[in-house]
Amino acid sequence: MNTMFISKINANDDAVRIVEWLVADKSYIEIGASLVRVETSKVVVDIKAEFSGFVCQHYLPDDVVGIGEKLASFHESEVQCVANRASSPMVSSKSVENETYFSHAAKKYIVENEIDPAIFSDQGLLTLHAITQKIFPQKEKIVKDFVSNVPHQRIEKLSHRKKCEIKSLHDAKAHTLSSSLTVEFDSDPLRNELKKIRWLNGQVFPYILHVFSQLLKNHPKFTAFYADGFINYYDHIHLGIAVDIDKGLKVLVLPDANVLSLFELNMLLMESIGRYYDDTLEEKNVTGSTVTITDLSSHNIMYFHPLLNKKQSVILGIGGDSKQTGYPMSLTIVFDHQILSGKEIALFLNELKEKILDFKNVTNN
Amino acid sequence: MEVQKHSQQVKTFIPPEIEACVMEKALLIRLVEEALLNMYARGEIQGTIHTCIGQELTGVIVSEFLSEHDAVFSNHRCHGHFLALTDNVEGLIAEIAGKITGVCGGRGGSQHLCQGEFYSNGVQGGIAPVAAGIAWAKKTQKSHNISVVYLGDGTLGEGVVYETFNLAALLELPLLFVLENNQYAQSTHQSETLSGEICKRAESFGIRTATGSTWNWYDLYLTTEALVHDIRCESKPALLQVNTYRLMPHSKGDDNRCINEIESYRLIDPLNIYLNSVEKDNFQPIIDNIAQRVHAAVELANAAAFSIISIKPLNNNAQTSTARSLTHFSNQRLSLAINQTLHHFMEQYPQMIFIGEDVKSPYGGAFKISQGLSSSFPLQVFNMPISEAAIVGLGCGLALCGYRPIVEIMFGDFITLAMDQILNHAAKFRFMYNEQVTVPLIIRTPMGGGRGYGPTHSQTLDRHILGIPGLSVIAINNLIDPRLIYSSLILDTEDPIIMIENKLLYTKLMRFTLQPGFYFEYTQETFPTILVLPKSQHIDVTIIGYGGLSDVLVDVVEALFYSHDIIGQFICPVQIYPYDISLHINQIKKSRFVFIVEEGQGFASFGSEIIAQLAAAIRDTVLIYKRIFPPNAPIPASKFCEDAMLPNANNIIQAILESMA
Repeated sequence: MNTMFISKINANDDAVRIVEWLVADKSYIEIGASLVRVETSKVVVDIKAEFSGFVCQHYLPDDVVGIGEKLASFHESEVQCVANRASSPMVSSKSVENETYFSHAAKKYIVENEIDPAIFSDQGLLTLHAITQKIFPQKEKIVKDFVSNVPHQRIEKLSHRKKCEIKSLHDAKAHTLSSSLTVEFDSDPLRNELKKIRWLNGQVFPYILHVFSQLLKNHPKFTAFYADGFINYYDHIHLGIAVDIDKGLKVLVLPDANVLSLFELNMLLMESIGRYYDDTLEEKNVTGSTVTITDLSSHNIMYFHPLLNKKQSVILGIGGDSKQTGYPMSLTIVFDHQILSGKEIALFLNELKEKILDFKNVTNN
Repeated sequence: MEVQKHSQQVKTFIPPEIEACVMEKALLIRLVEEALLNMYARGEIQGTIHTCIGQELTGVIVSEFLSEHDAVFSNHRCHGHFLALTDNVEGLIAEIAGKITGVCGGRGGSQHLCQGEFYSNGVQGGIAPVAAGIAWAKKTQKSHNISVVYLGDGTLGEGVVYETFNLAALLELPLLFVLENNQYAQSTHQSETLSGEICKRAESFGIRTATGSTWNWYDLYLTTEALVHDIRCESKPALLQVNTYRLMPHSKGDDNRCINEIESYRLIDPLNIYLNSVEKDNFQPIIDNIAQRVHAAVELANAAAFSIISIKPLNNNAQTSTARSLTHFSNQRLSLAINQTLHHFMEQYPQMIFIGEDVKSPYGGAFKISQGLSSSFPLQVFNMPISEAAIVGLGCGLALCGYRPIVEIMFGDFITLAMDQILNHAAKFRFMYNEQVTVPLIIRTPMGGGRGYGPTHSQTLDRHILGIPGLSVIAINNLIDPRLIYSSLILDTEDPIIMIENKLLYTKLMRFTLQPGFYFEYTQETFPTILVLPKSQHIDVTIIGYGGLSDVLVDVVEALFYSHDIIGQFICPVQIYPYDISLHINQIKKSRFVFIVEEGQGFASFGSEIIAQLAAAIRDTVLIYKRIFPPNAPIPASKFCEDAMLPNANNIIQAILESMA
């Protein structure tokens, strides 16, 4: 018998969700054939069989399996496979602990009272009663009143991907001290200039990415993160572009953007968006970003406060409003105050704005 | 006049050695029954005995033409039939005396005998379809063996006899109905109970008939020989009417017949005539030998120990596990999952026979559970007439012969039509025949409302079939792979089982995942109990329910937490009888409230039993119990009224919230 384990697929995930088995339980599979389809926090990937044999599956579709857990065993015959199943039954991840689930009343209460949910880790099911018992043991009456005021609610299960995103953002929030600064400018003159470049088709976004990545070369703390009293610097400037069009929120990674020309960067961006639409993104296309950019200007959102990603020090939010005269745009940087100061961000933002508005810079490309 | 007519009949020639043999058997029967009456008078026998004194020649003559592996099913007046076939005097007397050396260890007594392929049962008429099932098995096995069923003229009032006539003729079964016409149904003369002619009843179904009498037993002998030969060769049923007369009371002292009538028949009794006609010197030693043998058997029986009944304990296994080794049918509806399960097992087990009304393709059953089965397994799937009692009896007979029959009752409401077969036959045989037989019969039937079928097609009648020893009741649900259930049914079960399905649940998808925060556990029993447990040390409520409500109650437990701040657990048995809730007492005691939810009527039901068991078992904790079930009324057809009446997620949650307020 050979055993296959779930190996680490990316740096972020410590578990994957089983989407579907690509071969029936107890049937034969050749080494290298696709065995199971799993969902990471970023993409869905197929895992190939590491052995040939009759497969004894250890998990069910929709189970969440931790990295390093036994995924399947491979046997010489179907009989051995069945015998193994009898002695080592299928495991359901539903028995995996280390989870906390809040009732709607409990969730409403912790949100309204700005209580950090992290203090309730590993608690399983938590009701409002249990929470108030834990925080305010003397205030039992709160519970009854609060529950009776909760209107009828409909519940919907979050996807595995969304839960991963939430966990990641919670982790980022728990380890950073975030603040933000914003600058703005009218973009009409710039847009007119960009229209002269045919392949750019008047798009501002690739141009800002290009200028931003060039500028980052001189600001290493913008591609770094704080941990345990140390600043950890990344060696590369891998732009993470938050995209949420029709296929859900994904962060597309443009590696080493600082060494690319505007043309090359635009081509890479177009290719990544094409993969996003075609559902052909691979793990490498969505992991490993060292700084993130998000753009809501197409939705005419002028100002917003993006959330810092885990193990990053800044995120650039691009706002804009096409309905206002001059098509004003904003550049907001949310940053980790443990690494960067407001002054450093102010200087960077102004330099970024100047370079963006330097039309000669456009022409040079 | 009638007596004179009988006595004037002309004898056909029978060789003397055969005549002696026949009379010797008849005498054995008579002396045994006279000894039994004496034992009864001395208080050595309890209960009842129905003697056949005066009728002995019927059994003797029929048994003359039976072969090894022919089967006989007799009735309450069975001693003569039994002795004629088995010659087991000692086993019979000990059995009737309730002794461990009896043929059924004293469990069955006078009316319930079993030895080899001889069976008897004391309920009138119900043995006919069982004998037909045995005949069907013989025919299927191409063995040229036949099945014989003994009926009395009083039994002609039972509808199931005519259901069996119909089936026997349709299926061309090698089945001999022996109709002993002794003119009385207990103490009532047939002039008050029987219309028309006996043989014409069977003839109207296309069954061949013949008539004879014990007074002109030479003719009867030859008629029987020819009839049995034809049945064996042609594999078609026949009815033999044997006119006869019972010289002793129906049971013991319950005889209101005219003494002159009885005496007139005693004068023409063939055994008395024979004994008076033979030379004493030649036959007396035979009489003495028989009497001595009977006397010895009585002494043996009196000296033997009374039987001791040991009850097999339930398969209690409190261990639970999150493991479930089979999860086929994800994202499939329960009806299709059952259908595919049947396909899977019928292919592996050709002894599985599926019978029911409208079950063959293209119709595939009223709820399409048997869709496609008859195309895949044409020799294993059969449409049956609307004869619930007979088809359950037919299944019972097949099961006695080693088949694994599955009988579909189209609506659970109709199971009442088959209750005698279930209660007095299938469920009793293994016990009352002292473990000599098993009856692995599966009866499937959908119950439950919610589809507007009205008062007689929407009931959940499980309470009427709970508490029958020897019968297990399974309530299938969509929380567990049906292959697991059927695997246990086929591999681990030898007793009859009623599998309750649910019409609404047929349309639900199999449910192997739960809302976050809940997980499944399963007991390690033949038919596991499913537990939906919260990931929490604190539990507010326990909900117990089964079958059609299982899917709804999972919704309830999840909604109680997420929308109402209440942490609940759900205990969902698959086997609801026999059932022992004590396995789960420690789990139940984690909560303060216990809710038992049922779709059937509440009075004297599963819920009552569970609360009784919990009350008896839990002494150190005060629990608050609440039962949720429909009001005391038939189920209306009106959808509005039906919805208001039956338990659903909303009204269950409402009841729970009100109880906990």
